[in-house]
Amino acid sequence: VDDTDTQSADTAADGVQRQVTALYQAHALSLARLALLMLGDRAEAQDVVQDAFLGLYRRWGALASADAAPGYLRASVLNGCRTALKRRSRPAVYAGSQEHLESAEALAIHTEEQRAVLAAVRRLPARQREALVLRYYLDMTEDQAAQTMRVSRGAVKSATSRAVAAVGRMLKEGS
Amino acid sequence: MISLEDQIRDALRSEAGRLREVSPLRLLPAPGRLGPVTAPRRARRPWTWLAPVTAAVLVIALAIALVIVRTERNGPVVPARPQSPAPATFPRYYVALEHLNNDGNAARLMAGDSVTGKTLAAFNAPAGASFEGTTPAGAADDRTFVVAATLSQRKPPYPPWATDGPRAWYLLRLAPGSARPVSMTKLAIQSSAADLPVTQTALSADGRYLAVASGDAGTLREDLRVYSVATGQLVHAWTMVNAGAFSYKTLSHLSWVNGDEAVAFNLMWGLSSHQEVRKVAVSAGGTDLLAASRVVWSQSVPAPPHGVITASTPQLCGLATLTADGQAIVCWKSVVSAGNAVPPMVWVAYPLSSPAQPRVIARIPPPLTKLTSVTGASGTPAVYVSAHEVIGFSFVVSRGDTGPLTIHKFIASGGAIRQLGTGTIASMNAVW
Repeated sequence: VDDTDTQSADTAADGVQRQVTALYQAHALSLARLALLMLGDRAEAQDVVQDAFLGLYRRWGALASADAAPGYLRASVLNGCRTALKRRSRPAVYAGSQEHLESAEALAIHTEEQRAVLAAVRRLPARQREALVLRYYLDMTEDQAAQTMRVSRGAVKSATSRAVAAVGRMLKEGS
Repeated sequence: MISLEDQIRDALRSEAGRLREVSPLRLLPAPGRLGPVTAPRRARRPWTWLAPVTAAVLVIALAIALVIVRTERNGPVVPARPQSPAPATFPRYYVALEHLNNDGNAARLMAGDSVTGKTLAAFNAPAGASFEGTTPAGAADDRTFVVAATLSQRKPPYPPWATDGPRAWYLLRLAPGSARPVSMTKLAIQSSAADLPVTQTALSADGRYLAVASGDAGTLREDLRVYSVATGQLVHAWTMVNAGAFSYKTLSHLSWVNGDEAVAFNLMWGLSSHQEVRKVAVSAGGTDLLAASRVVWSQSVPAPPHGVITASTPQLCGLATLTADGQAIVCWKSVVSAGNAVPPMVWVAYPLSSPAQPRVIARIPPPLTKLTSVTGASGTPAVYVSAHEVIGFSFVVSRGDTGPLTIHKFIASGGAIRQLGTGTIASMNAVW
């Protein structure tokens, strides 16, 4: 490898780093919020987002175009969340998590109604929660959510409807 | 009563909004600079690769079979269709700026009911900030608004090339009759001090996207950006750079067309002799606004001799806006005639199928000749354009520039105009 090749490789790597950093500045917060809603844990959400960007950095050359990067990142974050949820041994994923220790902030920010809804959403199975987040936080259509979750539109519709019903039931039980 | 879905939406957004920053990106050294970081390879035994490859082939075959079965059962995935615009009704609920300062910004924002005259809620701007304006969702939605607030005060003498950012954006939802009749959520749209002054905004009919026009005569630049309301993400950004002050084109009167498929805007030439309405698809690539958009309607008029405007003087259209179904341009014109101190206005529709045959769709009955346009740096005119050339709009007659205002509400459709009633709003300088 001569010096010219090394320099051009360095320049290309710098360019990739710059582009990934710019993407991070533009999208990291919204992706971290998405992961937070999925995982309920701030630190874990940020780790998933870091991993997604690191994955993007390593696989930059495999991207069809830079425009595809945001879509890739979102899919990667959702995959990371699914993996993290599978890793958890207990089904009640939010019990005793760090987020509950931060409840003073949550108390100050959320209304009583919002806290009740969030507690119910956190008790949902991962797939139903994902459907809710995609449909009601990202405002995706059923088709878009189906493509993102890689399931049929009917499955999204059913998961969303069950999730809403379950949240309603839990709110009723809690009141 | 607020629906359970809206409660969930509200709670998720509130929870997401709790995260305000992320830790810095930690990238490993560039792959091009270092050698592989994987562990050294062990010597492989012959044919050991066969087992995983066979397993992978079986898994792939099974997956393909499952996909075929699922596709047959559920039918192919149909791409999302744009939502059809809601039928036009007069917007009952409005959001208004109060106590405007010399910048056209306001220290207070109120949401009200134009039928009962009641105030639903009022918000004071955060310390050091002021509200710039609001924009309702398209297709006559009077429950969803985006509010802009500037976080810094411009100082006199307000040079035209000054930027006025940064600003914050809020989503304001009205749910009259529910336990929480008003909710205001800060959006995650990033703003910087380098942003150009915002001149127009338009919220898509479904409230998913916010189109923002900004421009600055000093830099000769006009920007059109589209943000996701849910995530604050910048979805698209186009720029138009003007060649010079005399050919300066002003970007205004944004509207969403066919749900959230495209954004239409009016371009007015600096000498006010030519105007165009253009449309840019949200899926359009590139960053050049003129290259990415296409003209759907245009009009040119010669300058009047010696600058004297008479009844026969051709005029450009005011507030030229493409309807939500993309079928017509709706705009207003003054009818100048001798003896009219204040020329009455008519609303005109130019069907795109036959633009040479405009139709008067409403005449503003005298003396209601003063139409309040939006005061402030951002917002839309007091006109709600919906599908099928049906428009609902309000005329505001004020006694002086401040004090109680009377709104005369009309709805116009197919050449007919119907007065719906009047309402009074106290101490208001802008109405939507």
